[in-house]
Amino acid sequence: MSISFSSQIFIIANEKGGVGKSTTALALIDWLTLNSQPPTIIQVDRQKRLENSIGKDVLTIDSDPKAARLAPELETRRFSPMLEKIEVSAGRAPVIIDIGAGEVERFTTWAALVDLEEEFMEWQLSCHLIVPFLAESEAIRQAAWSVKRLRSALPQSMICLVENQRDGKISTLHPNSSAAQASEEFLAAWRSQSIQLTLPAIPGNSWRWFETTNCRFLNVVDMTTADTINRTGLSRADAKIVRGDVSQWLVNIFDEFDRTFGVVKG
Amino acid sequence: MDRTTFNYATQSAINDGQFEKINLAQKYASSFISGNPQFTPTDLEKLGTVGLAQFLETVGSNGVRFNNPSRSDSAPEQQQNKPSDAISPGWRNQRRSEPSLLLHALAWGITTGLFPIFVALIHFTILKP
Repeated sequence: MSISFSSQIFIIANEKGGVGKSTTALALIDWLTLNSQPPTIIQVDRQKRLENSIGKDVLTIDSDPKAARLAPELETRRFSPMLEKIEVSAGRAPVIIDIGAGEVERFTTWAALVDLEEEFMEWQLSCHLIVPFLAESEAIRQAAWSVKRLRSALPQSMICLVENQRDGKISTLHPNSSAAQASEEFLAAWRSQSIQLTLPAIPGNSWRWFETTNCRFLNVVDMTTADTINRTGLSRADAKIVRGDVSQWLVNIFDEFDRTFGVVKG
Repeated sequence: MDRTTFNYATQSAINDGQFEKINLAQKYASSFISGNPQFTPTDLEKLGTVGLAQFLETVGSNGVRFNNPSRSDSAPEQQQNKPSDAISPGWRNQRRSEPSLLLHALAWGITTGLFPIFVALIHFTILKP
């Protein structure tokens, strides 16, 4: 491990749901934990997926769409605990902020209001905007929109585009397909000024057996076969297969993180 | 968990998984060859690349033709001499050459042109001798 992440913030966002934000966040949390730098975790999401998997240490900012419509100026106040949490963690632990679907606009409005960029500079924090997307036109459009919004609120941040290959690779799409065209139209401009990261598909969709039980990736690696059978309800052979698939995927994604964030294995 | 433990644990889990994939692949291949109705092609998805390679190797070594498993009893050399057997004819048998429109037009023209003459001939020779 050559880099300390204690002065880094990772904001994971895409206005569209189901693109792999929480999966990316969970993998990143486990990667930082494995590198002896367990992060402070903040989630802006009603689904509370991270809280369910990680536990009560997660600060969850719950959204209230009805309150947001009635009093938008008061609604932005719900983000305030986030600022306190970041200040406490600055210089001590990396911070991961998982922004759920439909929350990017409200978060960026709040970030502009409190001048979050200036606070980051004062606390000497550097920010990574991690935006996952699928090989699907709407996910790509929303990713580009999210990058634009986040970058307008946090201009100094580094963009990291994550191609989630769950539903296929963009490079193998037909050039006339709507997703390939959206990729050219909306993401091409950002690619030159961003880091590219690939989230490979989990073989055989094996993660679903653990995901429903609110499990962490590192727990899967650490599980005995008996634990895996109890947790998933699969046969002995199938339990070993899904655990092996998730482990293989985790090795691949951790290699991607090592490469992207410059960690030397040791 | 540190990196060394992680590397050891993941490698062990990956090896266990691959071993089970190979075992299952052999089991599925036996089911496929014997024509067991419980064999479901979608089960092959979980085998991954390693398991699928094992499945194909096991099935291939038993001389099974993938397009027609019921022919596995016949001699493989004979099948190799007829590569066309391995390809489904599809719509080829239904194909017909297109009719020549020029010939059709000529035939119809002559027929319709001769018809009044033929009627007149019958009228004057048979009905009014």
